[in-house]
Amino acid sequence: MDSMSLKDFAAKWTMGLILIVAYVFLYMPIVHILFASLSNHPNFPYPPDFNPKSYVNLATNSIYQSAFVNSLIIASCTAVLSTVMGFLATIGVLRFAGKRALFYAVFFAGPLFVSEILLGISSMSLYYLVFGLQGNMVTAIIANSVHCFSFCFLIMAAMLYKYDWRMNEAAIVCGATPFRAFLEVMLPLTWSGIMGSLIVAFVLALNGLDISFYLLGATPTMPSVAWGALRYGVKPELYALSTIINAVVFGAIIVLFVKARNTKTAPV
Amino acid sequence: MSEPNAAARKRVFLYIPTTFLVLFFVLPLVALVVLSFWQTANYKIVREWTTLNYVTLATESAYITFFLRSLLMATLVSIFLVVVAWPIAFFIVRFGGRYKLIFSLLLAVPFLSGEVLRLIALQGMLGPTGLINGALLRMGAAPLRFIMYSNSATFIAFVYLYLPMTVTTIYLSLLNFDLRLASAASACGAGRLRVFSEVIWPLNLSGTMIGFLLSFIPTLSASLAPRFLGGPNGTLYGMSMAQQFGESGTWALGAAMGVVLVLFSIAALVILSLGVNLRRTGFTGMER
Amino acid sequence: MTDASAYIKIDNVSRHYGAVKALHNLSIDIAKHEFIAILGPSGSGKSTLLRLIAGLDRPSEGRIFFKGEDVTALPPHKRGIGMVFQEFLLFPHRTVRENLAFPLRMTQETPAKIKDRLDWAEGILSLNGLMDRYPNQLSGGQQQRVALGRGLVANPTLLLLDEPLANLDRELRQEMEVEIRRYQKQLGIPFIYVTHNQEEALSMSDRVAVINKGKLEALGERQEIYDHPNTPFVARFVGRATRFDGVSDGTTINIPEHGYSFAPSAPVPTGRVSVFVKNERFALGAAGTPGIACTVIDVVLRGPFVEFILEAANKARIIAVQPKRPNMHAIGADISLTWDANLAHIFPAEG
Repeated sequence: MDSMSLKDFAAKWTMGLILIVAYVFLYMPIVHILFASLSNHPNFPYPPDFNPKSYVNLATNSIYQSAFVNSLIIASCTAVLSTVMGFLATIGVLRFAGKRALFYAVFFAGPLFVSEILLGISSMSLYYLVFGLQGNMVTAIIANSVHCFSFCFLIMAAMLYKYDWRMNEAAIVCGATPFRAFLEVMLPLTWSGIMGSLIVAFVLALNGLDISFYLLGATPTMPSVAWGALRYGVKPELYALSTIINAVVFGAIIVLFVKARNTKTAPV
Repeated sequence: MSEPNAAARKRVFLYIPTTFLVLFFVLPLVALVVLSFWQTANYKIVREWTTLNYVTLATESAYITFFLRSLLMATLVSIFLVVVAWPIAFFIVRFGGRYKLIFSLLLAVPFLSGEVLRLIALQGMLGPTGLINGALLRMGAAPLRFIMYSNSATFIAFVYLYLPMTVTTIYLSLLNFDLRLASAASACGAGRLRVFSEVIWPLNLSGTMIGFLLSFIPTLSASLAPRFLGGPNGTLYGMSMAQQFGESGTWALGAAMGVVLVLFSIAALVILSLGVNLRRTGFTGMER
Repeated sequence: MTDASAYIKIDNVSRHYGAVKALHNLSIDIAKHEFIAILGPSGSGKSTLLRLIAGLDRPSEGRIFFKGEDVTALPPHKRGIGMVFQEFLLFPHRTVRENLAFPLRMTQETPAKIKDRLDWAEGILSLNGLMDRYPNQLSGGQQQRVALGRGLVANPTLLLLDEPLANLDRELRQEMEVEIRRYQKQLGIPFIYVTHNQEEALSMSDRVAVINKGKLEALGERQEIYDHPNTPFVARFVGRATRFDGVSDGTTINIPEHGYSFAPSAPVPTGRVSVFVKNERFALGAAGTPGIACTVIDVVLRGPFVEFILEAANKARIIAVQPKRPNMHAIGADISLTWDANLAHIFPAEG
């Protein structure tokens, strides 16, 4: 009995230790470049100091400015397009696919199993080499949306799977039009899934290099400018950029988390 | 009266996303296949059918080496990730209590900040002037060569890039798994190992397979990590493919490499799903 | 052939899902002050009928009229109905007040009217003090009241109830049965009540429609349905009955397995017949008197009633229900089982 619990204890803490190592492994680089971006000695920024020079350089660099705007446009449009498509797909699979639900679900998850670079290259092949079309923002948004679509589909499917569809019927027999039922009943009850889909698609499109790289040509985006700058060695500005993006991602996740928590504890 | 109505709704909800994917996902892949059977000469496409690209890929030793290296790399990375991700995911589900969501989110979040920026962060750790070697130099020790511009550095980068994905997939699988089944098995007299091998593992096999594939497939065709961290002997297939579309301008050959990668991704998907009998993994259909 | 002036008229309605016939040529007329129960086993098509009346599903054939107006093609939100679901389906993100106000907002009532109706619902359903709670802060019975209130608050043409008491415990169910019936009498609109529970159907309704395999088996006053079932299915399904296989010569029926004969005063079909006797209509006489010789093997107390589990000579089990009395037959006692020949229901044998 004693040896059993000792074994359990050992197993538990071995797993716990692996978890801690994983956290350190994942976060040490992030924390390191946070210090590096703020230091006069970016290579070995310990003890840490506080010098916003790299952030100022970043903010005043006109290439980064236009790249930032482009990335923002691509990310916002991608988030909306892929979430709308993912939402239609989710309802389609859960409500109208019948016996083919599994087939459609696998098809809609398909882009997950084709890597980003292949999506970028194959889209480029279609537009540029077959139709003779130059890549532009629209094609980049569409290709990014294909990549994000599967994530959106899975996130919303996980949320809507638990939704009781007769809630809509209950609203409709109360006299609500189907659209009003969607707006007043379904949307508030599934909002966290839709929000999660929007945020994940936005962040993925904001940071993805491969697709924009092949479909935008000379138009700069933040990842492509960062990639270009890498050829000349890592500069503190890149650390600053990375740190800002990490902060944005964390902010978004915290907002989502708090929202999800509130809807869970208060009214529902 | 209801049938046309339901059909109309089906059109909106299933056919629009299906059309979207066919146009912008399937069609590009078809274009890639078409391109792979053409030729490029002097940065121009020659629209003549030929299998020359595939012959080149199958005979030139450099491409064969790149491919085998990619395949080995992807296999090792994915196996390593599954082995590491299982205890992490299991610990969170079993002992995470009310903090489960936070634990798992903290693991998933780094995935969102993008490949380039994450590689930059990692290079800040591993590179010749990075934290690890910087610290070693300060202590008067010799720098670790194997983490600078080598296949090991690429390996570490892949683990760094895809750990969040693999852990999240296995975590979600375990989360939907009823841990009381494990208790039921113990109550039937099964030892710890048997509980794992006869109940927990088979019932989470499909989730594990998906986690494996979600690291295997991008690793197989990765171009950024090896280019940035791999060094002179670290060229991988995807990186070579990217070069065909960039510097070399041999797009058709690159397209053929792309087709090879897609085919092998599909092959991996098919082989692994054949190994999974859905009924035996507790799949009960889409209906709730 | 049907009365055109009926308040609700279901005219020859069918619903097919591919080759599956969920409902088949069904016609019911419902009067304005009527409480009608639709009774059937699960899968009989009773819920399909309710969904057709609500407009949540459309009939494959046939028409539905409300107050003489053809509503067959009208979507549910334009039909002006109320509906109560088995799982209540209250909106979890809205308070009781907001849930009740929902149908009123949909019909664009004035704020004054909404307040007026909310006060009415609060009063009639005794929801005082609960109006600002969320549904998950209410007990099952309270949720049930809110669901009823949401169905009734907008003065609907009729109220549809889909097994609304199935999720409540027995005591609460009996309490709510009385209340629901009271609301119906008070409001004077038809209630259409779907259930698989014959006690609920009999205790509340004016008329009962029995549905089996998509067809209307019987439609009539509840007492009539109970006392004079017109098909073997109704005889079996409404009330608790025991079936015997018999042979009839037109006047006397012989039950060979028990060696018992009886002769109803009215003429009966000849040949092989099925005999149904309601369990509470058995008489238990002293052993040795004419009847089926049985042994009491168990006695189950059910409040004011007693169930005797009997075993006949051929080991067949029969349940007889009697009012509770002192000096009842004990376990192991031998008795003789008979029934009033005119209270048995006799049908030609099926198949």
